[in-house]
Amino acid sequence: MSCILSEDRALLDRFRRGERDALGRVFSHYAPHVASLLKSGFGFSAGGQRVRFGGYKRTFELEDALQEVFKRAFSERARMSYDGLRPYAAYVAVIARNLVIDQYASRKRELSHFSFDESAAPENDTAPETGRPERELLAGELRAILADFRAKLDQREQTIFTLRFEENLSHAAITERTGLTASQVKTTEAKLRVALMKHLHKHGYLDERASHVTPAAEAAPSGDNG
Amino acid sequence: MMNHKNALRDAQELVAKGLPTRRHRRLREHLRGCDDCMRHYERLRAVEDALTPASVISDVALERIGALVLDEVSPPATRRGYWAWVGGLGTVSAMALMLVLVSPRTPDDELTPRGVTATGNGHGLAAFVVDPTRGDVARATVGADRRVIVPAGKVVQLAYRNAAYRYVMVVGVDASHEVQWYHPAEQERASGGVALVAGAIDEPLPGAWSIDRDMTPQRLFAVFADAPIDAEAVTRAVERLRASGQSVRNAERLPGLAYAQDSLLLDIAEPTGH
Repeated sequence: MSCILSEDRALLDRFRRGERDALGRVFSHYAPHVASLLKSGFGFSAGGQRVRFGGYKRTFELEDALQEVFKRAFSERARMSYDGLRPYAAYVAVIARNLVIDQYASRKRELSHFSFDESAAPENDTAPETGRPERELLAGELRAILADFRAKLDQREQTIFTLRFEENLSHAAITERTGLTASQVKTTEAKLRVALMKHLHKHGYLDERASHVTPAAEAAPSGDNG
Repeated sequence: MMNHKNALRDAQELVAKGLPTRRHRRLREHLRGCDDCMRHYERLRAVEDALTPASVISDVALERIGALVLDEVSPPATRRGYWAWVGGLGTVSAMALMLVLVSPRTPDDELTPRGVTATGNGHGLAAFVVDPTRGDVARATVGADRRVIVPAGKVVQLAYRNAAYRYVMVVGVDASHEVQWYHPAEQERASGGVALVAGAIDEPLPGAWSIDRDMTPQRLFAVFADAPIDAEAVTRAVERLRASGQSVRNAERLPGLAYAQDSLLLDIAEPTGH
């Protein structure tokens, strides 16, 4: 990963001054790397023990942690402490690790009020819930619903769905690849998004109470009629 | 003040087309304490991430988190005046300004379209009502009691006009005389108030509030001063109002308070057109 701060001294100066656009640029460049670290986890030593952090599995927790890491990294003290020579990715990774270690220490303190009751017999022998099967079930359900949605699209919609959402191409690249106008691509994508939300509600994936807030573009695409 | 319905709506709007940072922040606060809404949010985000399979987290989600970070560590520069403020709402593309109410201490101001009558003289509290989902224009009703009628589901942003005062505090009191601190936040009451810009016209105050159906009417009292305001004095004035038994509908001032004041009655109407 290139280090935009050590390669661009003007950017480094603006970053140190806390200028918003410079901070934004640094965030955009390094946030995916930090998100990956926070999601995949890592090991660390604490209190003489080796601890494995398995990564944040819930999206909300991941987002919260990411936000906190960059709040710390962008504090005046942290900005001024960065020497502009070391790779900033490593610098911010240390901040991310410290955040996780802080959380670990804090939760350990909270749990210090509890201990295992040796005298109580376990009620049953079932394995503890890890939450993982539920997540995998949910992911499987989502994959099936998306596949069903995709199968019901017409040819143009399928093409745009694939290029935009599966291959992550830009509008310009899709225009070039398909020969459609930029307007056609954008309109089709907007319709696809609306249709997808309806489809997800219809199949019970999303809370029905929120179904009335489907985005405003109400033109029904061909994909979600059945 | 966010309820489950608004949280579900905002979660969906966040993923579908984005939310203003302040509403995003409020949504996150709600989600932290609400398992049901959190489940809905996680499902929405799973969809978003599933549609960008190459990433740990989607680009738009990163952008949203980045906005939260930047808003906290490097707030945008303060803007001046109405049109600059509207420009500041550029990121709030889904929002449309609906109406303006300026409630000054001068008798000649009535409900008017924004920018027409504001003269910059004196001081006063203003309320902007923003429709978070539609672009249509509604008009507020204001009576002799300085009542602002806001449909549930809308968002209220407060603003002020100020000639020369330096600080303001805004506190809401409902019919039961329950108190809600608007400016500054309750935990920052010792700050002496929000620092004012001299000569400002319709300068927005930080924060915005979703108006829920279950909200009750409130009288919003704005207290202006040249020096940091004693929040305890404001609290005691609210106590005096409570003790007097006077209805907040009629109480245009907090009694016994040696500061300049202005007030608005924020009344909640049933949502229309949905």
